[in-house]
Amino acid sequence: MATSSPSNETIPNVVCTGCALLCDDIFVEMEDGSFKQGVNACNRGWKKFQYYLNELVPLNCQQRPGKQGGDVVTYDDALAGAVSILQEAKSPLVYGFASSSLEDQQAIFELAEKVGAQLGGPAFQTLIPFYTQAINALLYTGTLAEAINKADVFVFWNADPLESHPRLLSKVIYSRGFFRITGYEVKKYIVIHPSDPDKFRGTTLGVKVPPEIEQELINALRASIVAGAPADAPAGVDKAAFEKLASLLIDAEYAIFFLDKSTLRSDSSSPLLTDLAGLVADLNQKERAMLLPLAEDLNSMGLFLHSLATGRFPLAEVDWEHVDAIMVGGVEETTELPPQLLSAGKSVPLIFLPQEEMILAKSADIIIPVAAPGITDGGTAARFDGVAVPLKKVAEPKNAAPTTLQVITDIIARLSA
Amino acid sequence: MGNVSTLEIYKLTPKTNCKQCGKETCMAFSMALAKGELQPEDCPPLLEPKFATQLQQLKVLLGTVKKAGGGTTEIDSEKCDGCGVCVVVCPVAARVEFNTLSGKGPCFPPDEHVVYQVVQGKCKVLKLDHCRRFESTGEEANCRICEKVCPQKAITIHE
Repeated sequence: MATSSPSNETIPNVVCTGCALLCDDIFVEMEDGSFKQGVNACNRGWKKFQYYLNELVPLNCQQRPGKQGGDVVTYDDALAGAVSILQEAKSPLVYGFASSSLEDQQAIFELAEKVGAQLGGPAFQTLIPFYTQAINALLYTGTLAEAINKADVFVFWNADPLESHPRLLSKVIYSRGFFRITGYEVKKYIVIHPSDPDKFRGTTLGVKVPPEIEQELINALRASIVAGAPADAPAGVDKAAFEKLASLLIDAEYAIFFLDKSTLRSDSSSPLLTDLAGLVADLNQKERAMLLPLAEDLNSMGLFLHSLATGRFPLAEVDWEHVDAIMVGGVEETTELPPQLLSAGKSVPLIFLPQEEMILAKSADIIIPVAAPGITDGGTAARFDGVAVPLKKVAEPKNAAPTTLQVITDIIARLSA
Repeated sequence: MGNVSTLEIYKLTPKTNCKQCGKETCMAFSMALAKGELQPEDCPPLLEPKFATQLQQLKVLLGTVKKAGGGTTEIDSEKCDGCGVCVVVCPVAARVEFNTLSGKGPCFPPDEHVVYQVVQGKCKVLKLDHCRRFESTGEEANCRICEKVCPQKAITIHE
């Protein structure tokens, strides 16, 4: 329950949308209608609140004929322009929407179905290969709550949690948990990374593993787990470190492997993910283990869940050659946009639904600014472990920007009329 | 010990005027402590567990025991990224803010004992008074867990 008057209030249990960890313990303090402070949010999360609530320059709906200029138009006119582009397109692409709510994404899937669009975005290049291969190799996955409360061994495979999910360590390594009443004293924090292990502070074990020998390492670990004793260390991996790693995994009661996007993006022909899933399956023959992909954008996981729900699995790689119109939304300044998108966006009509000012707007033909989920819009998002988290609207959007759901629903209605 | 006032000492006594120390009042006992005529252990009630904190503080005040912890805590806000590890790992927070058991941040405003909270994306020392280095005895008074585990090496405890 918010306290004090509407313009000066403390809003509890706000969900941070800075990353896919979706921390739900944030207190947002508003003063005279402006964001005063965010409590418990990490620096990345705090900056996002600060940006959207205080610094964001209000955007307007625009039509940019020939991708030039920027005539401010009404919402209705911008909508008409977007509908016209989609009606004329034979092979449109709907791209991004990993930073949109589950409700927005559901509408996006409906729109893509209606106009026969390809779906694309960074999320599809990571989560779909992961789950496809993990399911093929017997999927063992679980939730953050299990990681906090039950696990004792945490392996960050190629992952740097401080970079991708700043509060993840405090949640899984240093928390005590409700079913495991000791914290870091008994938990094992392992990093397997191509960088120098000294970079990661507080680890039980850091193992430097160049990408080219990851496969051999997994095979040696699988052999160790089956035999119940460390096998021979693969060439290129420190022998003592390997033996310690193998012993920690053999003795683990509940091991969790966190995988970041670099592993998730491994070539689909590479058996790395399948082998990691196999390693986890081997561990499950004795105790419990799981794989958790570290999705980054606030709701990448939602796109994957919608894929499962609709049976519409986008290709991990977009067929750029035939794209003749693009709609982009649910992306942020930090989202990695592929060069093909930037290049295609210059030559085919582009509808852009920005939550903030972005360079991509320069390639857009139609711009319809939208509210930001979890800050100026509510909705629900799927955390990186797939658990649905209700987002809290903290303030009204600047320039009364509509929600993505509103825009997509209006487009679908006009297309159906 | 020359700068320690009798009143400061008196504040840490049981104030029961039980006379077990041989003095008529706790104030008289405080004056004897200030002059070095008596030791804190000469007061039997102070040896009871419920006065353990006062006894420790009294010893520190009188200089009869070297303060194991104390000091100051400095946070390098350039390095700190607000990951909240210090908040969660702090034994004081674990005792008074149960949210931290599951890796969450404390309430806001937090319990008065909470030492750290992340505000504006950076860790902030709210109050060192209840840090183990000030309130505990023995090994616990040497607690440096926040400094030890901070992933960004942003915390420094100065003795």
